[in-house]
Amino acid sequence: MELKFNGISKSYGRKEALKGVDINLSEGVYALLGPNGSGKTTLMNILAGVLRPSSGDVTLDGRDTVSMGNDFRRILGYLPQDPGFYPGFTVEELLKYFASLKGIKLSSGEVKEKLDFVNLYDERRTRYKALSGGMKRRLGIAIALAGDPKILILDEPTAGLDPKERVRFRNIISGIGRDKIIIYATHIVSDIESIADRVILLKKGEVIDLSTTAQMTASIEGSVWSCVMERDRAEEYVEQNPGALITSTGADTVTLKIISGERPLPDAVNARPTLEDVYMYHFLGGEQ
Amino acid sequence: MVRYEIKKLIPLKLCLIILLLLLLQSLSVYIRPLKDREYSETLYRQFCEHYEGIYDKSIQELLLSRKIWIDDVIAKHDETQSEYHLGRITLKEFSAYMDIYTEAMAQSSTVNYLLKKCEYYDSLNRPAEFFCDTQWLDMYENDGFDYLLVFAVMILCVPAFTSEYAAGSRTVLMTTPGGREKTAAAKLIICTLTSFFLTMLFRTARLVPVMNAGAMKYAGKPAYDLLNYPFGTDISLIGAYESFSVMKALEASCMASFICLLSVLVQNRTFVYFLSAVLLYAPAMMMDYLPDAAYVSSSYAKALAVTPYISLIRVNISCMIRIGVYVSICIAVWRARYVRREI
Ligand SMILES: Nc1ncnc2c1ncn2[C@@H]1O[C@H](COP(=O)(O)OP(=O)(O)OP(=O)(O)O)[C@@H](O)[C@H]1O
Ligand SMILES: [Mg+2]
Repeated sequence: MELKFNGISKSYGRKEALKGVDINLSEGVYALLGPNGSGKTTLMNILAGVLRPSSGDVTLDGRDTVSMGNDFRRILGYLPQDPGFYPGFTVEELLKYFASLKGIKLSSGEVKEKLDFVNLYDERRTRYKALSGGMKRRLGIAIALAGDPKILILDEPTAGLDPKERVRFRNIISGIGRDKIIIYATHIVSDIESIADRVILLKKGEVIDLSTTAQMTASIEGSVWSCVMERDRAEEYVEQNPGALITSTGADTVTLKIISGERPLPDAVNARPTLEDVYMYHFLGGEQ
Repeated sequence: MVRYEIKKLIPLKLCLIILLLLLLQSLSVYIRPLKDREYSETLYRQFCEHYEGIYDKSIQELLLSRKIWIDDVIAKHDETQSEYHLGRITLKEFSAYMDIYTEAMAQSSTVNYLLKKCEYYDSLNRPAEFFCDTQWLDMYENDGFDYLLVFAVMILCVPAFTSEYAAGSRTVLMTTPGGREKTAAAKLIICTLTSFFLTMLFRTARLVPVMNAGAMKYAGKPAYDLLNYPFGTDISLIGAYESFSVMKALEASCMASFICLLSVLVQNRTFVYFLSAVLLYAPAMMMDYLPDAAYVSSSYAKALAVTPYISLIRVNISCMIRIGVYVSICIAVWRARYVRREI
C-alpha cells in the first residue's frame, strides 16, 4: 500500500496553510508533528477527502483517492480533532451508528470486542456527553477503527489527556495491526517516542522532515549543548537566546540546554539529542 | 439508518414543544374572530334550524313576504315618529310600534343574507340543503396561514442539517460511505414525512373541538351548500376539509425540504431560522394580493376561498415537483460542499 501526497497546497483566502506537500507513506505508524497552526488538520482533512486542496492530489497505489470515492472511504477511519459526536447517544449507539454508516452491522459480541479494546465496555450505556475527555478520545478511536480501515487518521488523539490516558493511548495504538497506515497529529513530543515508526515534521505548511525518530535525533547530532552556570546568568542567557532552556536546577547553579549550530559558550559540552531537542531545533528559532 | 436519524432529530424536548403547540392549536378555535357579521347569528341559527332540510322555493317565498313586512315596518318609522310628536298616537301605541320596529331592524340583515343564500341555491341548479352552517363557515373562513404549524415545522427541520455543521460531525459523516447521500436522504425523509403527519395532526386538533361543538351533525353535507364557496364537485364538508388538509400537509413537506435546502446552503443555524422565517412567513402576508401564489406556497391558501381560482390537483403536483427539486439539490450540496470552518 502506497499513499502519495502529490504537491498538496491549500490556501484559505490569502493564507497559505499548506505549501506543496510531497510525501510517500506506506504501512506503519506516522506521527504528524507540528506546532499550532502548522497545517496538520488541513492536511488530514485533505487526505480524508473532506477538504479540497487548492492544488495537488492524493493517490493510493496510483489511484486518485477523490475519484475512488466510496472505495476509498470504506478503507478509511478518521477521528477529527473535534468529532462532534451526538451528545445524547450512548457509547454503544455511537459505535453501532458509525459502523452502520460504513455498511457494517455489529453483533453484540463484536460491540463487546471493540469496546473492550479501548476499555469502554463498562461505559457502553453511558451517554457521550457524560464521558470524560479520555473516554471520549478512546471511543473516537474505536469508532474510527470500526470496519477495520486500512488507513487510520487521528487528529490530536492525545490532546488534553492525563499521563495515564496517554499510556492507554500508546497501548491502543500498539495493539492495532501493523497492516495499516496510521497517521496521528500531535504537538506533544512525548506522544511520539515508542509509538510512531516515523515522524512527519510540519512547519508553516511545509514538510521539513519525514524520517524515523533515530534518524531525526541523529540529524541534529552536534547541535545540542549542555552547560552549567549560575542561576542569575542562566536566566539572563535564556531570555536572550530562544534556543536555550533550563533543564535542571541545583543549589545555586542550573543546567542549560542550548540548541545551536556552533559551540555557544566556551564551557558548553555536546549532549545526546532527544526528540524534544529536534522539536526545539526546528520550532523554537534555534536553527541556523 | 433512519432510526438513528430519528434519535438525533426528535429528542423528548422537541416532542414536548410540539405537543404544546398542538394543544394551543386546538384551543385556538375557541378564540372567536372579532369580526362583525352582516347578520344576527341567533336569528340565523333559529331560522336555519327551523327550515333545516332540502331547500325549495317555498322558503324563498316565505323570506320574501317577511322582507316585505320588514320593509313596510321600517318605512313607517319617520311617519309614526312625527305622528307621535304631533300627539296623534299615544305613547303606548308608539312604544308598541317601536318594539316591532326593533324586531324588524334585527331581522332585516339576516333575512337579506338568507335571501342571498336562496339566490345562490337557485343558481346551483341542483338540490341544496338548508342547515346551520355557521360553524363550518367559521372554520373555513379562519383557515388561512398556520403560523403555529410553520413554526413547528421550523423547529423540527432546522436542526436536521445545521446541527451537523455546528457540531462538526459532518466531517466524520463525509468520510464514511453512508454518511453522504444516505444520511441526507434519511434526514429529508424524516423531515418531510414528519411535517406531513404533523400537519394532519394539527388539522385534526383544529377540527375536533369544532366537531364536538355540533359541526359533526353536518359534516357529510355537500360543500357546495356553503354560501360563497362554489365547489363544483360533490365533495362533503368534511371531505373538503380533508382535501385541504392533504394540500397543506404536502406544502408542509415542501417547506421542510426547503428548510433543509436552506440549511445546507447557509449552514448557520440562527441564520437559517431567520431566513426561513422571512421566506415562509412573508408570502403569507402577500397572499391577499396574489391568490395565484397558492401554486407557490399553498399553505397560505385560505382554504375554500381559493378554490374558484386554483386547482387542488395542480397545487399538489406543484408541491411534489418542488419537493423533488429541493431534495435533489439539498443532497447534492450536502455531499459536495467541502468543510468551511474547521478549528
Ligand atoms: N477555514 C479556515 N479559514 C481560514 N484559515 C484557516 C481555516 N482553517 C485553518 N486555517 C488556517 O490554516 C492554518 C493551518 O490550520 P490547521 O488547523 O491545519 O493547523 P493545525 O496544525 O491543525 O493546528 P492545531 O494544532 O491548532 O490544530 C492556520 O494558520 C489556520 O489559521
Ligand atoms: Mg489541528
